[in-house]
Amino acid sequence: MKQGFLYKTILDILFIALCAGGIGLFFNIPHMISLIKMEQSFAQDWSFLAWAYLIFKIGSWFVFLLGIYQLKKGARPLLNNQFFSQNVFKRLKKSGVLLIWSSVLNFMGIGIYFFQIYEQQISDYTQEEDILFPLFTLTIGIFFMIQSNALKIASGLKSENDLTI
Amino acid sequence: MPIEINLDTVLAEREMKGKELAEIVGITEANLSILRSGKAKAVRFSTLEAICEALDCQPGDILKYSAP
Repeated sequence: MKQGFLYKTILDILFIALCAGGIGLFFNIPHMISLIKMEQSFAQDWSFLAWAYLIFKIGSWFVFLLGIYQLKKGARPLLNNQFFSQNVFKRLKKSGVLLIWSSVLNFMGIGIYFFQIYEQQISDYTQEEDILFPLFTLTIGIFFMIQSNALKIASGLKSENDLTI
Repeated sequence: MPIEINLDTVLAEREMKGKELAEIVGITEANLSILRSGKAKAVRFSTLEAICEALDCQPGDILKYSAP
């Protein structure tokens, strides 16, 4: 169980670091946005698609953060040996759904990016889009939903077994 | 639940306490209480056999089916 607490601590640290990054971004973006360059132009000259890309990317990150938060909350009963607590599979399911949404938003951002590439017919692009991360979060999200369902069934079997005399 | 447990009746007839029966059968008082209250989902044959042996009765004396 010490190992479990260690993993939970690492998860907490990662979550806090993500939140700290987000808070930093939230307070600095109004000051920095005029300096950020995208599409070879400053924020004031961005097209609608450029703004949509930014919003989808930030939205994806925020939803990902919510998914990690649900996972963090779901880990607590597991550490207290409440393996079949309703809280565990509800949080796991919520986390799965949020991670799936995060990957969907990320894919939409990537879609906008590649649409812009196609529209502007740029043959070489300076910015790289990583498709692996949203695929990974999508896979993990689906897995969490499967796991949540399995735990729910297992919980039912356990309670039935407990009531078998 | 359609299956009713008449354990209380049989225990009273045999003048036996629940605690005593639980000890003889080898189950906890809590489990016996679950059985008596009708909250049990299933009964193992081994448990039913032990109860019938302890109370010198038939399964039909303890279990009764009433249509829902």
